[in-house]
Amino acid sequence: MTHRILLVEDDTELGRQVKDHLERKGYFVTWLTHGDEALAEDPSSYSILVLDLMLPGAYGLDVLKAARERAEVPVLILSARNETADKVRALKLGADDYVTKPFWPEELVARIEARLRRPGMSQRRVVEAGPLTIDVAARRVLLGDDELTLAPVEFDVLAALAKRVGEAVPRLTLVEEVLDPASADPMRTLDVHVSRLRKKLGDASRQVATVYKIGYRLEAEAVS
Amino acid sequence: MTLRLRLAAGILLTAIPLSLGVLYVRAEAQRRAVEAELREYVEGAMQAGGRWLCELFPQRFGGEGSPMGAWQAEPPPMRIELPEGLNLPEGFELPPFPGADKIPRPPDPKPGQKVAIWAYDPQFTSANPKARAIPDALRSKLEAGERFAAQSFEWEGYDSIRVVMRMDWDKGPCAIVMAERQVEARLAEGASAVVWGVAILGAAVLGIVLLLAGPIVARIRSLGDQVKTSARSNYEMPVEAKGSDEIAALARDFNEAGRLVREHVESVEARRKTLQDFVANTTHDVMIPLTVLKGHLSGIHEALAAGDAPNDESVRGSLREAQYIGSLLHDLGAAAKLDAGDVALDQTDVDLGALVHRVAERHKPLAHSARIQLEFAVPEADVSTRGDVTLIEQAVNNLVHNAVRYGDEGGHVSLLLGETEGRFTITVWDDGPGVAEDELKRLAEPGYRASAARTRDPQGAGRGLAIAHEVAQRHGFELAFRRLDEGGLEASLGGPVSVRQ
Repeated sequence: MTHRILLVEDDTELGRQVKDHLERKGYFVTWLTHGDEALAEDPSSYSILVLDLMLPGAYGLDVLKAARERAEVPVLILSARNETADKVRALKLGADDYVTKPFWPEELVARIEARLRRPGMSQRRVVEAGPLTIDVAARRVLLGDDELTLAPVEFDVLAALAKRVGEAVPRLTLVEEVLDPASADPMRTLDVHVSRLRKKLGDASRQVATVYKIGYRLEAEAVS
Repeated sequence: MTLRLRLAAGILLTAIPLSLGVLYVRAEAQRRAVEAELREYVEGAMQAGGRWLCELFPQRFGGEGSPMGAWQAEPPPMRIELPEGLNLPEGFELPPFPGADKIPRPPDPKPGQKVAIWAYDPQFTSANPKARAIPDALRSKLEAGERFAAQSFEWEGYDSIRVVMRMDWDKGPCAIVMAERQVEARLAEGASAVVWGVAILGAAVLGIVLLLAGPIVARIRSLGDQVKTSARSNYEMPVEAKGSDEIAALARDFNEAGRLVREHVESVEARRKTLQDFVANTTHDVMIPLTVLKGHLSGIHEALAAGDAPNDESVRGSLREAQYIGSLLHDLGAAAKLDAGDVALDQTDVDLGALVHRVAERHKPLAHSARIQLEFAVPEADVSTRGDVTLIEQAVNNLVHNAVRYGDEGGHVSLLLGETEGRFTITVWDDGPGVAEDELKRLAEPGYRASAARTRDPQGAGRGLAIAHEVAQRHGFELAFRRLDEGGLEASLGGPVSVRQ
């Protein structure tokens, strides 16, 4: 599904850059440069609002307030101000997050994606990770079309990673979710289980990446 | 109205009702005294022979007179007059009126004033045709069973008192006696004495008060002059505050207020100076990376114009400098805020997961261009702490910025938020060149001055870490550095989590 984004930014250079970048990422972007225009929009027809605070016409915080009164749509604030009071005010008025200028386009996209992904993140029961298909509820793992046989604890490790596919998962979290933290040297035990899991995954073993100092990550995209 | 005038008016306002009150009480006492006097007289006179006389010659008993009293005006007979037609034999005299000279005289009025006495039978009728009728008010009181009644009335322009009383015997033409007396002169005389007394006393008190108020007024004037002088010296010069009375307290309060004003002015001045320095330093510091950035960009432009691919190092340099400029501006903002003191800290609940996410995403493009793998992880549950979100974010930002900026190509930087036993920890690891032991000690030294953050240190970690230290100290967080055995540096920021609502 293509997400519709309402971008309100009065600086034409920055506005065009952000719009282009978001469109390249596959979003449908409506870009407004005036606060009053933004007030006239129906916020519920968008997936997310990206809002500058210093606007001609209605002030950004007023747009935010009006949007909050009318819809549950997430709001991301773009702020040139590095002042805590402004951020706190925006968050209190119902903004979900903010990005302080100057920002990288990638940074903004990451924040938008994080916001759009949030609902229902842990509800996913069937996770695709490259050639792997992990059905958490049925406790089944497919490599391509072949079903793999994993030991229960190995599956638990994989399922814990699958719940946060694409994100680094701290080893301590895995230990707490899967192993008995009170057992002797549980970190070492975890590493042993991961090593066995990778062996069984065969060609797909690189889908389970080691994250420096943090732990492991199940890569969402196929790793060659 | 000046203080003295106010005091005088106050005394006058007190004296007037006071004298009226005294006058009233005095008049009342006098009235009672006259009533008692008349009553005593009537009782005494009637017992001492008045009754005998009255019952014998009721049609001639009583009268009014001045100044010697009713008896003198119409003196009682010294001898008994026989009824008409009855004659005594020649040479025979009736004995003298027994005890007539013993009948007491009425109480002495002042010269020119009158007294009167009349007798009545139980039906309030007098045998003496000259007698005044008993006023209804008194008569009804006696009819109601009282034995004595009195009233004030006006008699020939005088304030006067009249008493009516039943005698011990209830029969005969003298069962009820009324006595009257003019008293106004005595009352008026008393009143004028009181008025004079009050006037003299008031004048004396007024004089004393004005005399005492003199030094007070002088001190207040002097305090006023000193306040003006102090204000001209921007409250540097305190006013004199000797003594323990209200004026001294006022002077002390003024000195305290002056101190607060001075402090406020100083703090405003300090902030203005901070702002001025901030602008000057920012301009200076931003110019350097901007110049470098312009150099890179013109190199890229030249290459593109010549149809060549831009130099990779120029592109990466541009990204690096752009990131540096942003980071620098945030550092300078944070430094200004830290310099301004505790008042500038905005304490709120800070969502550390979102904060770590923001910092990591901000550095990914730079890390990517430097071929450094930047990773981060946050717990699923929210972790928050109390503090200033801008400053905490800048502190974490600087830890990550240093790790990325000074990391080796192909290296790793990891950022992890964890929570255990009511404390959060944000750890930043890198596998870069690390730091020497003595430099590590320097990093771990708290109490960097924020101004040190403005020094561009191309080699090292001083600038941003000084801010991180200061932020940690202000929040009561711990900032620690550790060399990793396998090389690289671990920096960790820890502190209490805020209680979830």
